[in-house]
This record gives sequence, structure tokens and C-alpha cells, in this order.
Amino acid sequence: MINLLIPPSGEAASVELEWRIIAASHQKGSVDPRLKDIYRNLGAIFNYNSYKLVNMNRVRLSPNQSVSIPLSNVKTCIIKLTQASPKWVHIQIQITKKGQTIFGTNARLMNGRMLLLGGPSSKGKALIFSLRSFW
Amino acid sequence: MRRCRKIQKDMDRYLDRELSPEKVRPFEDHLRSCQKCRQVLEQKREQRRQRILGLIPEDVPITTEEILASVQGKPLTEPIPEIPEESRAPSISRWWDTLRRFAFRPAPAIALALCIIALGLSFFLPFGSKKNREPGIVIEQIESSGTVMIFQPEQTDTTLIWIVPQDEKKEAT
Repeated sequence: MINLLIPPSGEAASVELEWRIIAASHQKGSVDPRLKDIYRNLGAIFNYNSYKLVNMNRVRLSPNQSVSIPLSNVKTCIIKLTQASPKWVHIQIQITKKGQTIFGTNARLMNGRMLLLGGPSSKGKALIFSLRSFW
Repeated sequence: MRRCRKIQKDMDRYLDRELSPEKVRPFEDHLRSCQKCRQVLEQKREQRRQRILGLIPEDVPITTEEILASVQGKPLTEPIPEIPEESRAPSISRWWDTLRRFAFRPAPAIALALCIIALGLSFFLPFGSKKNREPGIVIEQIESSGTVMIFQPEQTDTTLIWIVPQDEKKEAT
């Protein structure tokens, strides 16, 4: 399957991006069973008591393709696959608020590695956006 | 008479303590009542004693008193001769002989020792350790209107970008 995705030129034909939007809080709660596979990653960084999965999806992108993900009623996350090679995928992430960019980053990821974007929201809660790429 | 013949047949086994327990009792009962068999048994005992004595050289103590006397610090008449230098085995070869005697095979032992050393080094040398591994995520560029903190804990393959907005208003989730 890897050979199909990576032509002899060395550039990956397409990459799968998996994203999740997670609501975390210090309130007494539990971990959403759908987050079991990444709970260890979350637990290594955060000390929240409760993790709830708000939304998740998987998309397949080719180089220069992008996907728009609503984070809340005013915020949107736009992910663009700029380059894909057998070892790395290069992505561009933009978070906009009411149409204005409030955050942007260029990053490169290895297969299966997790990138988390997060920040405090309200009343001791936090919104966490997790991203993983597979090819 | 027939009983005596049977008893005398069993005498050797009796002296060798090979007679079964259920046969010893009637055997001894017969001896108590039969003088002839007692004499035959005594003759057999004496023959055995003589046979054993014939194997022992004359100058070796054979009585208890003589054995005791020989171990109670009696002075030697002659000093123990010293082993000449040239006929002494070198200490290394003696050591080697000892090892070989205990079925020590050097080639497998050396191979095993090297394996143990390699295994021990793998715990200390940085081969494959996380510290020397290339990071799975590299942040090349960041632009933000707020404060950004990046965390990359060593124990996970996860990178966190934590964004704290500049304005104090927080949005409800």
C-alpha cells in the first residue's frame, strides 16, 4: 500500500489526514472511548480530568490540496498539504477568526506523529485540535 | 539338614546384607538353634577378613589404635621431598587444565561474553535511544496574534502548540 502511495519519483501521491477536536476540562469526568488510542499522548502533556470528543474525521489530500475544519462558530482551521515525500509531509495550518488569520504555522510531520494545537477557551476548559498524517 | 543347606546357601548374601528382610528373621532364628550353621557362618566371616587383609600392605595400620596413632602428630622420619622446579607445571597451564577439566570450551564462552558485553553496551550507548532520534515533527514557522508555547515531550511522539490569545475574552466552546 505504501508503494501505491509513493511513486518512484519519491513524492507521495496522497496523504491521509486524521483530525479530532477535543474539549478538555478539569471538571470531574471521563475520557471519551473514541479517544482511547490517543489518551496516552494527551495524558503525557495535559493534566485535565475530562476529555470529550467534539468532532473527528479523516480526509485524503494530495499536494496543494486543503481542507477547512470548523473549530467553533467563529473559528476555522484550514489545513493545506504543501508537499509530501516518503519521510515527511509538509503542511500549512491556519486558524482564522471571523475571516482573519489569528494563527499560522508551517510544519513537517513524519508518518503517524501527532500535532496538537490548543488553547484555553472558557471556565477552565480548553479546546484541543489533534492532527495526524498517514501514508 | 535340608534347612541347614538352604541357610548356608544364604550365608554370603546375609554377610553382604543382601538378604531380604523377611528372610533375615528365620535365618537368624535358625542360627540361634543350629551350632553347625553358626560355625559355618563364622568360617565364612574369617575367610572374608583374611581376603581383605591380604589386600592391605603390611606397613599400613590396620587396628584402631594404630590408625589413631598415625594421625596424632607422630613426627615424620623423613622430610617431604620438594618437587623440582623443572617438573612443576606452570600456573597458567594448571589453570587451563582445570578449566578444561570442567568442560570449559573457550570459543563458546568468548562468544557468550561478547554477547553479554554487547547487550550491556546497548543500554548505555545511544543507539536507537530517543535522545538521538530525529524529531517526528518540526515546526518551521509560526505566526500568531497571541502567545505561543511549543511542547515536545521526549517520552511521546507528540508536539503541542499552545496558543494563548492576547485579548482576555474567551470564547465559549
